[in-house]
Amino acid sequence: MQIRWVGGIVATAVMFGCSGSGDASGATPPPKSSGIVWEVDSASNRATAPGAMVAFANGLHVVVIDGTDIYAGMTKLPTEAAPNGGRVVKLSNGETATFTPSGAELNVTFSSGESVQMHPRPLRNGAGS
Amino acid sequence: MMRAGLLATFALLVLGAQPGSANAQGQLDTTLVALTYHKATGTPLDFASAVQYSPAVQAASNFDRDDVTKQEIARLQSQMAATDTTHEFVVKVDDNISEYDHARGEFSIVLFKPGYSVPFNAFGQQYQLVFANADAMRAIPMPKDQARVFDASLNSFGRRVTDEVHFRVVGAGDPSGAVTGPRVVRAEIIAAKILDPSGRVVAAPSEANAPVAKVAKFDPTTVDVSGLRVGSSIKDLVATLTRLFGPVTREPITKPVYQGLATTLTVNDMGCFAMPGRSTPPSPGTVCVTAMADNNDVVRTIRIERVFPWMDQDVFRNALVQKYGPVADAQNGGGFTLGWGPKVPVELLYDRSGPPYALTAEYLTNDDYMSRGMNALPQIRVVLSLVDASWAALASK
Repeated sequence: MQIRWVGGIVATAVMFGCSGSGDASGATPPPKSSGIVWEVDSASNRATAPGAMVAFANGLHVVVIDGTDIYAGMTKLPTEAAPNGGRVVKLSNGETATFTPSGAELNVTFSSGESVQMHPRPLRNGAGS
Repeated sequence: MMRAGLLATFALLVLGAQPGSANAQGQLDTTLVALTYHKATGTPLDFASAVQYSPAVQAASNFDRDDVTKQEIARLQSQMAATDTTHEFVVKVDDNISEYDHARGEFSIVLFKPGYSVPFNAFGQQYQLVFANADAMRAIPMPKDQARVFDASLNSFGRRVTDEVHFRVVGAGDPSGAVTGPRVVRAEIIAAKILDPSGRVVAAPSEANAPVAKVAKFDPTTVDVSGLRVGSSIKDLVATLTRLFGPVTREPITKPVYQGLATTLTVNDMGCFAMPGRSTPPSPGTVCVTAMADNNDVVRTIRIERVFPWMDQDVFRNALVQKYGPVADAQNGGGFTLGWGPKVPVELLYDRSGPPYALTAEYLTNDDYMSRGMNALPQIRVVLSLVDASWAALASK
């Protein structure tokens, strides 16, 4: 699966008007069906474990990516274009996470130095993509 | 208690006991450090117990002991009242310089690594001195060619050095959450020198040489746990959880642990911890969520857990300090629990024996018969819990 941040996916996102409802808490749930659910690799990979933990702490262990929008839990994160077709997300503490397509996966690199790979979640009943 | 693996057995080079006048010669007046800590942080000092260790009380006869004790309490209270909380102390600590880290291009001063503290005794009890800005002083960076010469020099005296640290007491607790227990004295390094056994300065660490680190600040109004927020509607939380993690079970609360809570939402209830006889133990990547909402369908507490393969606890701690800023309190026991934000009623907490704060984070091992009996590394279960502190404060009135 190739990841494209512009063109068709953006058009799909706009077409289906997929922003969440939001409320006083500032929460914005991800769209119910549009976009793709991505999750970090859960294999016992000691090298990427710090990246997986940083992803979990920031709600990036399971995300919905819908066009150029990235939803970490019920938090819609502002993104900016990055080199190589990626997107940069600014996190609440001022750190950043850069999502870069790599074949069928996404490489996520945090400004604090950790990195981890994400893969699209297969469809399943009641959840996922 | 302090983590055994990182228990720093640094020797204080206290050269004498001349309270209030010793620092210029590098002596540490541990009594004054302790008094400064109690005064600056408001942590109560049991004066009656404290004076039992004073030479005057110990030398007093049974006949005079009560009177001398009263006099000593008055003297100690007076001393605390006169204590300047901005006082600059100097301590000398036996230490080591690490091997060269080729990837980072630096040596490390071991005392300044997270998890290390300087224990000292005062008033018959132990205190632990931690340096809040130690990490910024930790590295001795240098290019490889220069490092080779420096390394040979270190080896010539067994890498043993003395850290001369000038500091002020600034609070309580280890901001990194790595040193736990009662009476953790938080200090700020003003200046430091690293001396070889002959007294020659081998390094003068400075914050000015450290990269500027972003220090996160905890904001209870915008904080999230793994992207999930309190104060949101049940509808939004259910939509989020269903999309990300799977079906959500919604149940009314018949016996609320706290007044005003009416609904429980769960995903993968009890699916994250290993228990004896369980046919399918949780695998890394398993996520569990439990939330409680009030009568108006507003979410007031959220707990999210995830199972990870074994990893060093510093990975978890560092990730959270990076996100939430300095830890307000920490406890060890099996794993550890860290706390941030305002205090909340313990009834609202998952771990009621841990620090009672709006946000808590736990690092736990998921032991099973494989890890216990066959020497395998256990899984790690991490738990983030968030309570709407402003709601809890109002609901309790």
